[in-house]
Amino acid sequence: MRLPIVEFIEANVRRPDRGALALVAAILVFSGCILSLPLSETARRAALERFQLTRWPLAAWMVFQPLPSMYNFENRWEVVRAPGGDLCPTPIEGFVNHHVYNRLVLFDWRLRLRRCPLPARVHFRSTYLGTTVETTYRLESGPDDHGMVVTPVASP
Amino acid sequence: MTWRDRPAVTRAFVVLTAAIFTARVLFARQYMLAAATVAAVPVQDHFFPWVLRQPLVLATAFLAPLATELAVLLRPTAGRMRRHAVWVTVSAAILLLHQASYFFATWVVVFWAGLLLVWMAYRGPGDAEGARRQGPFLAQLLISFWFLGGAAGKWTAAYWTGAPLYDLFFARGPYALHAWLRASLDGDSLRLLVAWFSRAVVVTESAMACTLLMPARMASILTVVVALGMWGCLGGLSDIALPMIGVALAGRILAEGANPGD
Repeated sequence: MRLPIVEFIEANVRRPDRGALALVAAILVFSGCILSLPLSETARRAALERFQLTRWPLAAWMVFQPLPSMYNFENRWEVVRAPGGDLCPTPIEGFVNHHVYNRLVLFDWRLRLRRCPLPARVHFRSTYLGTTVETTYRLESGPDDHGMVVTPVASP
Repeated sequence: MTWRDRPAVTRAFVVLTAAIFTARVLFARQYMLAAATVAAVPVQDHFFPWVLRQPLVLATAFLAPLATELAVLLRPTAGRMRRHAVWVTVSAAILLLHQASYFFATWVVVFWAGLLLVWMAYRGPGDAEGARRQGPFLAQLLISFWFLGGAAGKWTAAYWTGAPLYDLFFARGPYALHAWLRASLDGDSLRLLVAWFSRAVVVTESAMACTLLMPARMASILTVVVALGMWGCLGGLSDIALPMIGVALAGRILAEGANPGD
């Protein structure tokens, strides 16, 4: 039996299947983005910023959401005292598996952060092959003490 | 018509649908809890527009494909397969954009698996030979792609020392295997074990990125073994492992190809 990759190429040389070729093309484009990570500082910075939801326009971020990035990079987070605020009763810090901003919106973390004295600051640090991106967000109670409001804190 | 009499495309479609359906059922409680929490503790931020923060959008995108999945599993007609393929892909895309679910790798895997379902539903039944010649490679390409995405981000010093996996799973995680390891090993031994486990993960994922070059049977078996290994060793990854296994099995069914139904 011949290899599937050979079968696929032969079948498409004989009679191109636009649906299959479109799927292959999309995968190749995204794979190119993945393979550029170790090679390009720009790609690394963009990927780390994507995890922290910083400097990415929403539309561009949407286009890249199908990019597989499971357990990528060294991502750490920490909840720290905000000016005028108190510390959480138990320290919150550690690694995050991938999209680090998820710590602010995951359902169980919403409940846990809501028990912290707000306002608080949440600091994210993502590192990959010598490139580091850090972002700080301010977390405060929502209107009428309902929910939370997250705002980026400008870098000094 | 018996299972073996059905066209290979239909069997592959049903197996992949069943895998995604199983993952959806296993995680239904978690997503309903998430929707309720999103309603109780809304997070207003700089990034997500109003519609992508709504709990109703989250619950609908998660639950609605259950109807088309059940319809296909009960009686996989061409119309049902087409409707389901489109809907499962659209719902995964919505979940990839929603504030409370965009970070779950489940929906990356299901989105691409959904595109494979679309291809099978629209291309396959009328062209059994085309599906046999092209389907296995598409399935293997997807598996390579997913593993490449996982592997490339782990080519770091921290994953070589095992620090992220130790912190995320082994140091405090509730999974029975991890709890047993904590109880059985001293701190240094556990860290050493996790370091070698983490290295094995990096090497295995990197090697699995070459799945597209393998024979169909070997690619399918290896993918199932690795996916079950991930699920068994880390716990809680069934949402990724199940759709991945579904794609691996679908590829193998398509490769075995012709039967009386074709």
